Amino acid sequence: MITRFFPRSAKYAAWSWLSLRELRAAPAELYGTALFFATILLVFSSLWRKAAEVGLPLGLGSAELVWYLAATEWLLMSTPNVHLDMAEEIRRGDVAYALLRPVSYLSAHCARAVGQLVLRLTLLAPVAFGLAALFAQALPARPAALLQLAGYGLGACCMATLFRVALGLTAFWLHDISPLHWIWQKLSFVLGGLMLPLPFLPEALQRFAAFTPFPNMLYVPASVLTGAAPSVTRVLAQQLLWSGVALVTSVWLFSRARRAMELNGG
Amino acid sequence: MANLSLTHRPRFPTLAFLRALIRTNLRAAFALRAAFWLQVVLMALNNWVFFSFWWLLFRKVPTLGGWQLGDVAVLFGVSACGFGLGVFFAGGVRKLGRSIESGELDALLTQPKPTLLYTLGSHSIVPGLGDIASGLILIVLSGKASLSSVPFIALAIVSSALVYIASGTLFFSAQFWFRQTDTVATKMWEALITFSLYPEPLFGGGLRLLLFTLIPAGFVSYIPAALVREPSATALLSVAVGPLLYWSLAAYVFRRGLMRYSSGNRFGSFGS
Repeated sequence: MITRFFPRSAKYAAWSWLSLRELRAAPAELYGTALFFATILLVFSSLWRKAAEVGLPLGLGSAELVWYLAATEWLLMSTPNVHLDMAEEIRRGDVAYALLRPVSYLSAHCARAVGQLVLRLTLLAPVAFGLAALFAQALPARPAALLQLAGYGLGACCMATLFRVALGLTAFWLHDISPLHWIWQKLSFVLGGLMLPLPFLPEALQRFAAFTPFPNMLYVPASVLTGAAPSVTRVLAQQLLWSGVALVTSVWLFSRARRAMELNGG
Repeated sequence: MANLSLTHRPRFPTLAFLRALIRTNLRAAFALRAAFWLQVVLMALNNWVFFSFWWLLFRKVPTLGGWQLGDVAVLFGVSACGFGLGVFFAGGVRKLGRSIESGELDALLTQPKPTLLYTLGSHSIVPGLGDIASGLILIVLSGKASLSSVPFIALAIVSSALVYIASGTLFFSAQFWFRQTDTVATKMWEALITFSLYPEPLFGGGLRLLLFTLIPAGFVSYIPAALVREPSATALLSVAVGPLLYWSLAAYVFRRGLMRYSSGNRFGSFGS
């Protein structure tokens, strides 16, 4: 339907569809992710149960924390590693062929990532929430919050994907982006509240985190399950703002990389 | 040049070969000096940022099953050092599944050297040095180590590294029997790393049995860390027996796997 009114979007829709089919054709990666998911939830459900023996802070129960972790891990594992694919393409020089295609390099990668994201979110949702129910031995306090989580989560993953595209583009200068990837990943663990909700952090770190995009990627959407999420308008405004920052950064990085490639002859 | 002489025969050829592999890997790692240091420093930073989880948690929760921050620091440190040491000197383990699948072992099978040793030692993962550095600093800062415990720390780290690599060899050797198991083997290895970073008292029942058999986090970190925290004859014996058991099994499985290995039709040189 969209492609009828916006014919130029047809090729990008095809990219999304293609990546979706690629992922479906090689399900081993998803099985592996599900296995890892189970490991993480098993470890943390044990951890929170032990911690609850001496009293958990912030008035949270161990079941609530397990559901919180399932939500943050679901969002993290659903976001495709588009930056690693881009970095590999740039490192191998395949980017020279990709640039010759009659599609925007950035839009094509974003479209591919969206295809993967939709499939991963859909397939990992029952894994995440099924395992959370199993290990927490309880449902969330407000089961309807799962729908709100899905909405906030989709926005958060799109935003995180755009930042990953920007990270991938740094491969034009860094060649190997794995160190940058680790730092970004671990910052999102701590400042995004992957394992611990942000109120666990010291005051100063919480204030610092508020100036970064990380809380909007994980903590904000997942906190609907602990009853601490901000209003819809605030969440949407922040996600849009940070998505804009990521998009502008990506376009700027790509234009600089392209200019450098043209000057140096690729 | 003297070493290349036809009349020169090293007394222990396998050890000489191992030394040559290590020397070559070190030279290759130092060739790109800036990238080398960047990877090492960022990996150490990465580990400390990850460890900050424990610092944040223990600010709010005083003990976890009797464990305090210092105990977890030793566990994390031993595991990080063991993993770093293992992948720096035997980083080829990470590529083992793909090498089997793509027929890359062909080039090694024609060499007059132990195939497993050659495969594992043919690649070095430089950030492993960052793991070692960050792990050692955590052990020192834990308050659980003293000068007298240095031999135990060294033994614990070497034992952990040996079990890490033996387990990796076992997981990735599944490719000899089943196709496309690289992803699952990788996740198994990651599960081993994950379990090894969390205190032992968290796990009980059947899971505990699993952690001392199929996913040997017990031999990778719990027992070696126990040797550092409270040295005992039992811990010392376990630290020696663990690697022996897992290496015997890994070598046997790899040898059996090689019998099933079917050559690829890939034309190229090893490592390309």
